Amino acid sequence: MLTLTVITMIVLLMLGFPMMVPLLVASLMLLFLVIDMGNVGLLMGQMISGVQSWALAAVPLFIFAADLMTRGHTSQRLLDLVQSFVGHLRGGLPITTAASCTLFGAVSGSTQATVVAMGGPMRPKLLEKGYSDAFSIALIINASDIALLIPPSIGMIIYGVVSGASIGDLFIAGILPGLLILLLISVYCWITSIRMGIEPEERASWAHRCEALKKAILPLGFPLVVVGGIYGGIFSPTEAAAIAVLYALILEIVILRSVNVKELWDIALSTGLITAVVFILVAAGNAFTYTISFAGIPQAILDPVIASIGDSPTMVLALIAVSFFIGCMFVDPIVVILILTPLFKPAVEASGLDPIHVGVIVTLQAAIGSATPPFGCDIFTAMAIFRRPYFDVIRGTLPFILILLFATLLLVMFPSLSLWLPSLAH
Amino acid sequence: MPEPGDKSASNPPAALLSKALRTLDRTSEYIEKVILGVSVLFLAGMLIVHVLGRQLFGTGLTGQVEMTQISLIIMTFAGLGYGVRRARHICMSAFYDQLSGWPRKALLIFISLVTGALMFYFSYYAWEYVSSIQSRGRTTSALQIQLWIPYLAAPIGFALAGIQYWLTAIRNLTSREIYRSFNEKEEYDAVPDDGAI
Repeated sequence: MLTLTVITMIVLLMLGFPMMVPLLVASLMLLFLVIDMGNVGLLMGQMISGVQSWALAAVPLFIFAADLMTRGHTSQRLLDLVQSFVGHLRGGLPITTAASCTLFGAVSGSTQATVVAMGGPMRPKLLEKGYSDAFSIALIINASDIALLIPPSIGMIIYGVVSGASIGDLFIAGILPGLLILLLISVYCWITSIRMGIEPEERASWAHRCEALKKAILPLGFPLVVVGGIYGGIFSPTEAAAIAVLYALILEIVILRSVNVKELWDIALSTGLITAVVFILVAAGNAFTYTISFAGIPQAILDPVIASIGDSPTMVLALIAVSFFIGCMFVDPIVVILILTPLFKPAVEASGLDPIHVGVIVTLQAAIGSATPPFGCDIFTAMAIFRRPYFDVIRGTLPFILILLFATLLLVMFPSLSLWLPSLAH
Repeated sequence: MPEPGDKSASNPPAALLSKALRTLDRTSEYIEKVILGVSVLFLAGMLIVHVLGRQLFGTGLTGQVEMTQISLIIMTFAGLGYGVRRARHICMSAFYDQLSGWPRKALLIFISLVTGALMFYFSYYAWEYVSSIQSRGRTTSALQIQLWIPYLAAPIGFALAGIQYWLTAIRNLTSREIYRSFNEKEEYDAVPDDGAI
């Protein structure tokens, strides 16, 4: 029966059914065929309780703030600032793209918002400069994935809610790994520009840099308010998300006047739509997790695996990394985090791993898997945004995947890369 | 007004059905939009007031946790049908994208019919669940709100999503073009030939 359930899930997924359908059908099959209980009301209760966590409220609020800033002037100002400082380097334009994606990730928390906000203006510039489309698109989607690691991160909020780890600690733990990946991607951009013989841009004058910095001061205050507020003990992550909305409203509507009050309704509607689409997966994922736990499936699958590798922290971490990476290659990262995190929780506790370190590894794998063929969800986002076919979008991704896997290896070997900043904050 | 490619244009009963469906669709869209937009603005406004109140006056809003939870439930389920309407539910379209012509359309109709049926099935059981909550008289602890009231969003949301999926199937059965949802036509020009490689 279990095999039949898994096959049904895969078939529904491959045929293109909305992702909630395989989760709900599998939950029903497990409920009726494996657990032998016909109470569908149980699933309803799990679905409703899955979305009523107070911490989850941070997700729509950060999406709302990101949407406000994507439609306003924030993204362009951040881009101008980065370009004025690094645009003259070899590979300056792709490095500007990567750094701007990281910076916008710090104000938005959303990978999709980052692809839209930075990919839109930067792709034509990269093509004009002579970079290939395959390289440009791969750079944009992979650099945007750094947004998953840089606070505020929606992936980390979901992981924190499911695992019970401190979302504030997760936020700060993601900063160094995010910057490390930015550095590795920048080195690759530098090598690519030399290999392709692309000349750097002209160096910006200090007057221009000061002007760009002046314009970006207010958008740059955003991550300071969010991270500083959480670590100063002033706000919880959810409250910080509310302050992020207030900051974005004041910045874009009152100070920059780039968004009018009428547009606010459209932005609220768009936020509600994205939230609903994500949260129905959270709800269905919660019902699915409940049924597989009730049926004792996680223990049946993982116990022999964990018994064979022992409780060595490095081996458990490697197993977690591989499982999340493979999972996110096929299914939306939020679903993978929702399903796999509770499965690995006993193994994490038994091996004495720090759940914050595990959270960073999990989020990084979610980021890599999302941009990895065959079904990484960012590939489909990029297809929709750039209007390019599937194979054009994935052509340039391999070097970036290797870079990100190298970063994973470094993180597994050196946990202090993610744990050093939280230890300082405490 | 009949749309181009709509087979119902030359058939009065079909035209009447099409008009009735469109009216049903517009009414439910209006309700979904209002609920979704208002719940986002309410959630943001309430939490901003709560944080400012706590920071500036040392006291936040009573029951804000409960109101937040209720907003999230309403947002999730009220947005379920709206997500179908805008063809935004996340799915893996790699296999679907490889198809063209009638196999593509047949698969979309099959997906819409089956998913719609599943939504109605869950709507029924969500209604039963809400009824059981109502009969037990469960309320929230701080504000004493009857829990069945916000939970009503679940059966209604599933039903609206079911309606949208079946409307999508009907639209595809009665039109020459392929529609990803009742109103959104599938874009065939998704890959511009601008030579930007």
